[in-house]
Amino acid sequence: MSKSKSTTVEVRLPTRPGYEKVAMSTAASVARLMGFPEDRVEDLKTAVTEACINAIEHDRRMT
Amino acid sequence: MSESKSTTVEVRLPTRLGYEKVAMSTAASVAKLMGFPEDRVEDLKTAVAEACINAIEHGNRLNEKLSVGVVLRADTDALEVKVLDDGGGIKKAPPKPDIDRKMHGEEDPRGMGMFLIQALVDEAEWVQGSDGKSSYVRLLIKLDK
Repeated sequence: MSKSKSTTVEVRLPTRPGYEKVAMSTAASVARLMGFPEDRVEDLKTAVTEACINAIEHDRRMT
Repeated sequence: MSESKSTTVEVRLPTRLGYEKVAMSTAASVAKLMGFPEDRVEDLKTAVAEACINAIEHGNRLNEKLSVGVVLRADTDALEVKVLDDGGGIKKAPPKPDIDRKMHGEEDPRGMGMFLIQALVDEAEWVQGSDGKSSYVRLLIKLDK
């Protein structure tokens, strides 16, 4: 694997509805490792999910 | 983002203990989307965590300049997980753990990873990178088992 900044986690998802849940779980896990309280983790999960749904639905390649 | 195979999820993690939990969450989420029952998801989580800990500790030797790759490929009947690191791969399988000896402190309590992985997934293979690095472990769990 190539070098990367040590505190970066990258996820690459298929453009398919449902996979926003994968980004949600990954983001929640990173936030918990960092020590965020559970209510902030829940906020982040919702925000990440919405952002991914937008990316999936508004992707013009998906027809 | 460049085009990617539509059923593949890729995660890149830092070489830092603790981040195996991130891969565990990602893998569990993909497995749930695929419809795996909860007990199989738990098996997968443990196997992926062990594989990542091996990659962090042994493959990349805790070198934070390197990263650990986790590639999850969802097929209709199975989930394949590859955990990649920059180490040379495992040349000789470690001795089979003796639980009694471990319990009594006569043997290092660690050293269970490969054994656990093999017990928890349907297929497990350790592949050495051709250039002495980029080694990976490939895990497979099948649906309807």
